Amino acid sequence: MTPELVVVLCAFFVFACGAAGAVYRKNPVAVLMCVELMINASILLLILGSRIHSNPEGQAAGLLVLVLGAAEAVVGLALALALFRGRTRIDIDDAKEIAG
Amino acid sequence: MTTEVHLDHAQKPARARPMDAVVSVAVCCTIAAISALAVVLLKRPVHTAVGLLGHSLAMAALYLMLSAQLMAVAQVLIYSGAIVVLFLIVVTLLPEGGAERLTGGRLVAAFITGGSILLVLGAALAAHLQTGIGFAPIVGDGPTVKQVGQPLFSTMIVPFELTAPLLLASIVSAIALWRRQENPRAGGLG
Repeated sequence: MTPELVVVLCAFFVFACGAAGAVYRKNPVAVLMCVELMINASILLLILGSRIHSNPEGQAAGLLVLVLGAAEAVVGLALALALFRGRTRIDIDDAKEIAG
Repeated sequence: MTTEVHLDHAQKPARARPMDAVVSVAVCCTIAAISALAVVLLKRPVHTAVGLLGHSLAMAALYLMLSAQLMAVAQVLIYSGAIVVLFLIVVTLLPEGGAERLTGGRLVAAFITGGSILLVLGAALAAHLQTGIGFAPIVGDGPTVKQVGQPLFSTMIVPFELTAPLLLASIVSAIALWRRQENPRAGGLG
């Protein structure tokens, strides 16, 4: 087993964990953390690809995705606070105000 | 100039023997996977945030092993430093610290989701490995910070410049969301 294969398998597992967690958790903060896991897994694959093909553009794209993840966390957390701060129970299914 | 000298020193572990590389990469991957599981399974949001911190640090170590020093530094500064702290601040502001009641139905749905994603990705990987091409081994040193920065200011200049308005928009929207629920006070701006 090569190190590259180990990294790919790890990224797959972390991505699947993040997706499963986003379905499982009810707390919006925990759901956002699971989305961050998925973003981290994709960045890891970008960097591995960049390294294998000796192309620095993969790392540059990884940096941009990192910034995207930060922006997503800021907006998501502000939304979670605005929705759930005055409530006694935390459940993402209760957030009916944002339904279309 | 000083940065390049330091990076050359940091790239030395990439030339380690293949077996050593597998072991060290496997250790970091195991830590990353276990902490990812902790993020999903731990009930208390503070514990979940600590799991995310461990995962982020393990990822930074993996980036270092892949000779991506700039990404490792960015990961520690942005994820471990800023985002995890932001999560912790929000957890303290939520009622009951964000405690939640999880049901068995959700667990089944999570297993199905995670399992099917793993199945699809595993099938794609198996199909790729069966072609006999496999993954090209990592050789030589990784790109320097200068080499990573060059595409950011040439071929990827548009997405790079768009990150500035994106961050500004996210800050403004976060403030707007917060002010919407704030009670207007006499003499205040609201």
